[in-house]
Amino acid sequence: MNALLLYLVLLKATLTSFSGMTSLPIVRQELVVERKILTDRQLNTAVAAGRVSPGPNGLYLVSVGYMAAGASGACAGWCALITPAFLIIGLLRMLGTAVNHPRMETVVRAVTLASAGLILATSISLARDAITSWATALIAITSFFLLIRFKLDPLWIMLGAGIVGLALALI
Amino acid sequence: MVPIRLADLVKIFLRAGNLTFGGGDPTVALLHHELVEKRPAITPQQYATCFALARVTPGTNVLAFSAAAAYLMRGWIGAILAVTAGSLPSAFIVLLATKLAVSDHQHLLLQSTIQAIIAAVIGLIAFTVVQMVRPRWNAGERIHVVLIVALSFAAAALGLLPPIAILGLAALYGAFVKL
Repeated sequence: MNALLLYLVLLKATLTSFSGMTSLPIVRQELVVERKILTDRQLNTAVAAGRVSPGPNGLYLVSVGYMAAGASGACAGWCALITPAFLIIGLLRMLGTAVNHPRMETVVRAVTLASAGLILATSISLARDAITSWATALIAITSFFLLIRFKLDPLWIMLGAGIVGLALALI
Repeated sequence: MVPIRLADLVKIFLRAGNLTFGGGDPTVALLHHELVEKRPAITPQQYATCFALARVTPGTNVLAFSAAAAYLMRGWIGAILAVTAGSLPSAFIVLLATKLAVSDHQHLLLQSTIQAIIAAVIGLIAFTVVQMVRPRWNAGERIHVVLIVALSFAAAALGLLPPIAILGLAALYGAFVKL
């Protein structure tokens, strides 16, 4: 895929999201469902790669970009990730403290809640690829429980899951 | 306020952006320590404005916050350097992890490890949804939460509307209904 086109597609996803992972539904819609450039397996792998690294949550776009178009795609993914950040400078100059206006806050809240519904819908398709046995189902449920109950850093969850996967292969 | 050199600015964002795990919150907390308490390079009011604006800026909040805080300190060049320093090294780590994950010569052990990590991602995605909904899950807002999340989910799962249209409708709902 052309890196410029990929950048624009990923930019569309980042410009319509309000945190790192909320771009996932649009990325899937564009690259998996409509253009068929990636599979759900690749998108799952990209999210996993993005979470084993330190740094901002949306870094999975670098991985998505690499899988879609190699090194130039990774660059496009990173550019799409950072571009919206600079919009804040315009907001800073125009709005200043007016950003705390109640209507602005309710718009962001509503979009965030809609993103939650979209991510939930996306996760069903991703789960079909990720959960292939009782062991992987157990890993997914345990990960969710550990995150909710103990608020562990996702990095430890990923590392723990990797160790369990390794152990299962050795048995 | 204490003026900051570009080299120091890069060092601060390099460290805060790439040595913290767990998303943007630890990074923003570390930047508060570095920029407001230790130096200070920006005022607590400026920090609060950057924080509030980052929440309503599309994309990754912590990058928007970094751009705003650095812009206040050193203008456009500061913003560009801060965002680059805060994300590029981690992007290379992600790239290396991806190359390893998609290698054609994967050993069976590596395949099993990756499959397990991918399964954990599903748990992580479900947790992300809970985190997004939980702050609004109170008696006054619950009905709106259920309505927006359920309708968005149904519209996306049934393929009735593209995600961007769903987000647009949610924004309209937020503009006219008090949440």
